[in-house]
Amino acid sequence: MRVFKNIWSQLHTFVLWGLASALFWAYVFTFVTDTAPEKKVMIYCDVPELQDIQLAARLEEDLPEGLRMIKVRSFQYVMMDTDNIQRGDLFLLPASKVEEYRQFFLEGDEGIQVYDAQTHTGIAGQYIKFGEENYYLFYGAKSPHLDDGKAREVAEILLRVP
Amino acid sequence: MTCKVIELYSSEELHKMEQTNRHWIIGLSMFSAAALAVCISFALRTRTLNAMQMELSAVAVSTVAGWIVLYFALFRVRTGRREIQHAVMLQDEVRDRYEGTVSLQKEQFLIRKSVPVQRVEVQDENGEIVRLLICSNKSNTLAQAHPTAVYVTHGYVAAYEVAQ
Repeated sequence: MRVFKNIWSQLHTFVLWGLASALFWAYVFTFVTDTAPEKKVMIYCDVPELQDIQLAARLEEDLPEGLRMIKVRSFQYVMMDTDNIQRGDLFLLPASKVEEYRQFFLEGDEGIQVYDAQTHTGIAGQYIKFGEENYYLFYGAKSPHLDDGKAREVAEILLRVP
Repeated sequence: MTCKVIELYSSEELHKMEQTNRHWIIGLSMFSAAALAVCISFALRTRTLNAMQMELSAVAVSTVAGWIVLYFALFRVRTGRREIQHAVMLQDEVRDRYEGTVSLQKEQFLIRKSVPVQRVEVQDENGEIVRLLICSNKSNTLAQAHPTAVYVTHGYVAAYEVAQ
């Protein structure tokens, strides 16, 4: 009884601590779960359904030397004005949106087909649910890994995922 | 008839209180450090697949450990420090003596940033009443002793006299 009375008298302190603890570790883990652009490859996917964490973990099983992590994220066109997304290394998107995003891709890159809508065959089937059209993989024009070949290496790993 | 003066807070008792409080502070510090080490280990063991679980674990351990430390820091260590400060104040040698019938009131109240106290009344042979205070954790000692006089400093009972 006395314990409850004590806690009640300082309830605001206990609540504040809980909030502070959650915010602090959320902040710490943004650094733990991220790294400099030179040490990671970012893959952005405009698909109906995506298991981003599981796919990233699968790709990291064959992590190229010099990289610390591979991150997979969903994205949409409205997000393209952010610098972070424009600096993405690889973009996976449907054929109908290719011209919309063209300016963000490497010049001359015609894309690699990763999903065929007619045969319903494509890459990473257990991680990505594709729509009812063809999908292509492109290199980002501002990717920091165009010169060191890491973007290409990760693309090859992705293409090998059944 | 001889009388014996008994101090409410002997210097040995004061030393013991200070030691106990110090042990609490050390214990809570070690507990905090251990909790922090556990949370850091969660952060170091973070991988792509388990990042969310590790973060939630760190938040849970940090929150619960913090609540435990806060509770004992506020209601044990801080209270102990205030009792020590109160006891040190009572060591003052300048004291008034009041002789008469000593009665203790049961109602407890808390003086801000101090210890819980109870009222003591001393009625002398002329019927005059003097109202004093006593730290609640010493009130039973006084009540059971049936003192014939009390020694007071800063309005608090610091010692009492019993007939031998």
